[in-house]
Amino acid sequence: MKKLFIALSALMILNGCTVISTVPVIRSYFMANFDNNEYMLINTVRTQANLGAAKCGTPEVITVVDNIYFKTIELRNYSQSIPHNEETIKMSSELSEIVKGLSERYHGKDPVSLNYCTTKFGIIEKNAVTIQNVVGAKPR
Amino acid sequence: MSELLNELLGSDKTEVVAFAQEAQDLKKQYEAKKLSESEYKELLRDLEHSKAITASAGDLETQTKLNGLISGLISVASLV
Repeated sequence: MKKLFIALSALMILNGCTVISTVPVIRSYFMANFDNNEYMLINTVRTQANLGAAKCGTPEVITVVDNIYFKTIELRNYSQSIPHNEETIKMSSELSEIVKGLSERYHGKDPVSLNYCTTKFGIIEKNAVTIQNVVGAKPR
Repeated sequence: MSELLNELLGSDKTEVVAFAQEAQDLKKQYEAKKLSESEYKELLRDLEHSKAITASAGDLETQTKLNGLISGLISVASLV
């Protein structure tokens, strides 16, 4: 108990000694740990986006689009059930909004331009890398 | 709009410059008719989603560092 008091006191000093400013510290103490499945899902999304851009303009692209959309929704649903995982939930929800647009366009009536396809996969990959880097660095 | 874009491209914040460059690139593609209007609008909205992802990633990175600090302090306190 004494040791915990010392540790918390040190943290309060580092945070300016106010109760409110200790909240992020408390949140970080209880934050969700690294999760293999979460990491695997975002890695799959990244890899599919990485390889998918080369399929733009071919009929095979629709398969990649369907797979990447499925995996993005799977990541969002998976992360939502992990306690103290707010940031990952937010990131996976935003990513699923990006991928949703791709899926809707490929299942719509209008033709999809080559530039849209390659740019979209680029955006998905860039964001997946951002998410993967922070999800991979979560405490073990 | 072009003036604002140029102002952002001259920012000293790298993330702002990167954001402005992406917006400029999309604008060029749209003006060259390589993107339809609806595609262009959607990709611009994606920049907003990307901004939110970057912000949450920054928060998570900070939390992870704080977590490491707390764990380190508790380990030190355990030795006292």
